[in-house]
Amino acid sequence: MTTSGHVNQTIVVADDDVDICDLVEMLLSRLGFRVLTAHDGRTALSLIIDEKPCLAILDVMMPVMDGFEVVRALRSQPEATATKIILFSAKSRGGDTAFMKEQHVDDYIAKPFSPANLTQRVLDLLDVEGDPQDGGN
Amino acid sequence: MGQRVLVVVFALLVCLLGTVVYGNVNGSVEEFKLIGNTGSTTSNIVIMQRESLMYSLEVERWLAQTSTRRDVQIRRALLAQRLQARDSTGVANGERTHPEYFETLRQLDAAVDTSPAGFLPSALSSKLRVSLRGNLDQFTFEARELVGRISRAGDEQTKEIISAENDRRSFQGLVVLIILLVISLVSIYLATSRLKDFKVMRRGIADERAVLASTRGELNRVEHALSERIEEQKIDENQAKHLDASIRELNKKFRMDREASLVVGDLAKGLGDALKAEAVLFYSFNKILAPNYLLSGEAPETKHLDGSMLTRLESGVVQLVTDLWTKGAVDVMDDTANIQPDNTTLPLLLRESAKRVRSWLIVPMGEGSNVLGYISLAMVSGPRKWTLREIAMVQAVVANAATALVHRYALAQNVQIAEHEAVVKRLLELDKAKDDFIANVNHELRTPLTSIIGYVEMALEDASLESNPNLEKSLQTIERNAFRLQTLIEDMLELARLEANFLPATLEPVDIVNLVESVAKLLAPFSTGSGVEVAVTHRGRCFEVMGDSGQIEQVLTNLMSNAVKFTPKRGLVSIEVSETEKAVQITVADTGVGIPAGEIDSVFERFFRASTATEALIPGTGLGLSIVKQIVEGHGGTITFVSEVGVGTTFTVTLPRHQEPAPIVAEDVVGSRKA
Repeated sequence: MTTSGHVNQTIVVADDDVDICDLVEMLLSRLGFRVLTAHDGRTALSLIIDEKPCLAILDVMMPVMDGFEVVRALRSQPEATATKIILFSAKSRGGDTAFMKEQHVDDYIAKPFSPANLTQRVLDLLDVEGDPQDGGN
Repeated sequence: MGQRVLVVVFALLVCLLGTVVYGNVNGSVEEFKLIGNTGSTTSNIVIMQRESLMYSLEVERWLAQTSTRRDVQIRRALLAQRLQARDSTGVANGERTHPEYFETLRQLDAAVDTSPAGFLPSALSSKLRVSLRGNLDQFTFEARELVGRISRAGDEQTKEIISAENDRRSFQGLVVLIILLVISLVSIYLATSRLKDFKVMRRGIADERAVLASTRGELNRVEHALSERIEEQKIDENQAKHLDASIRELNKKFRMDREASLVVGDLAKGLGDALKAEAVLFYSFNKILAPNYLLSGEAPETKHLDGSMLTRLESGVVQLVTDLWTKGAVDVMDDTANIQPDNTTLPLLLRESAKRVRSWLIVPMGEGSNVLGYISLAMVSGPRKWTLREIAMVQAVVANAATALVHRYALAQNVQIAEHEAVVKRLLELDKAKDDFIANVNHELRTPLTSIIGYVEMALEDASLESNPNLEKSLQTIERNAFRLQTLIEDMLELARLEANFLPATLEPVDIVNLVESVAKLLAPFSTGSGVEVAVTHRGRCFEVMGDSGQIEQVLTNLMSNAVKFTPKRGLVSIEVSETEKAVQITVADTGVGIPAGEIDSVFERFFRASTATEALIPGTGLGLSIVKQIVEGHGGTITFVSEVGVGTTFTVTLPRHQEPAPIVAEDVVGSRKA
């Protein structure tokens, strides 16, 4: 795996569980992404609007604003449409796929997740967009 | 009508008779006139002749006796006077006298006149007498001749007339006789018919008289009854106030919030007091609505009406009371002394009652078409007249009590329903709480597990582990157990979720073959690692079922992963999908360890693990098949299996085929799948 391929790309990670947030941050930092973290929905939304990251990974169950509310708020802001969104949740095993499609969320990862699986899916998602600097695998 | 005709006929006959009789009289008068005229002529001649004759004889006698002129003169004067006298026809007697006679007289007169002595000489007298005699003889002969002739002619004429008259009279007599006969017959007929009418009339009168008599009797009776009724009414009026007051009090007690036994007790006691009945029996056919029976009153004779007897007689009583209720009637017995001993039409209960009770009033109790029971008021010491007012009052009170009982029951039902609803609501709340709890546990368990698995995996990637194999093994153990824990949590939560609502969450057409193939693909690394071959085959064309694809995928995953898990290396797991008329069938066959025959019944129980699996140290939670069964049955399908230890196990799942869409739609689905 490369550690420097995505330095210019910012990813916002939001989860109220600090351990999980740190884990994801570590995983993605290793790939060279600039990772910004938040522990509630409102902070996450501000970060996304301010930083306009290429990707936001949002936990569904968060205080203040939950993941769905953040998604809805983002989708109503034209300047944030470029940001891709991955939801992850411990709520159920693959249950919210319909909602995911409805909300135009780009991917959905169930907790507990395998770190390898997570990084793979992040890379896949960003690579589909034709990122020339493919550092995956 | 007939009579009128007869009267007309009778009148006509009378007219005819009159005509005939009048004609007869008329004719007779004419005839008599004729005869009279003829007779007059004849008799005048006869009279004239006889006068002459008489006179001649007188003259002769006179001549024989006469002595003096004076005598002669006197006699002559008398004679002259007589001759000048005229008869009825206006003819003087002298005119009819024979002329010879007058000559003789003239000679006589002359002789007397010329005689100086005034005496008629005997010579002359003799001479005159002789001449007179001669005249007389001649005259007498002529007269006789004439009379004979006349009388002969008259006899013949008379005979003819009489004969004709007799003929005519006999004919007329016959006609009259016939007419009289007819009149008599008609009269007799009329009389008899009148008599008949009269008889009929008399009978009618008799009848009417009888009717009148019976009417009068009836009238008397009615009058009597009326006066009784008026008396009754008076008594009623006196009692009315008392009754009304009692009833008002009684009705107040029939509230639907009162206990049925209290309502019935008040009813029996209240009616007994108000009507001064010696015993009051309430009997309920509907044991839910009201107590079975209740006897109020002091009369010991009524104690035979105990519950067991009533129960014994109930079928007959139900019939009696139902009839009464249907007709809106009551059974009234003023005095059992009036019952005929051989009266078998009386229902058994009443016959039994009649042995001890003198008077009763039985009022059915019901609501709508339902007969609830009856109330019976009885008198033991003597007869009693149950007035219409009293009966109406009892009926009204009983109706109120019935309404109260029915409403009370309905209220109780409503209370029960409300209680049930509260229970259901509470259960739903509990269910919701459970769901929330599951969701919570789900989240709370997964979140730490996510960290454990994530960090362990990251740690295992660290290159420095190569120099520390013990640490690596420790981390691997942590990871393996974390996965185990994860599986256990997933299964438990899934099972709990299914139990809360085992029906499919969504219903959509699901293609089984597609699903089997994708699951097989997911399992491929695991099966390849275990050295087990997985073969998927299908027979048929359409494998669509209606269901929740996520749940069906889990069924397939659980069955196929089990098959791989329990099959030793170089074993075979074959999955076959086939279609029947109404279902899609999936068989998952392995060549694994098998399930002992004694454990077959427990296979689908939660946390059950076959001894063959535990002995072979094959990990598992014992929840997989339980979940599979719940889902399959939730989809209206079935699951069966056959197994032999050491040979293998074959599970067969049948899911109802998706038959909803029309053929065109089905083709579209196939087409899209091909695309």
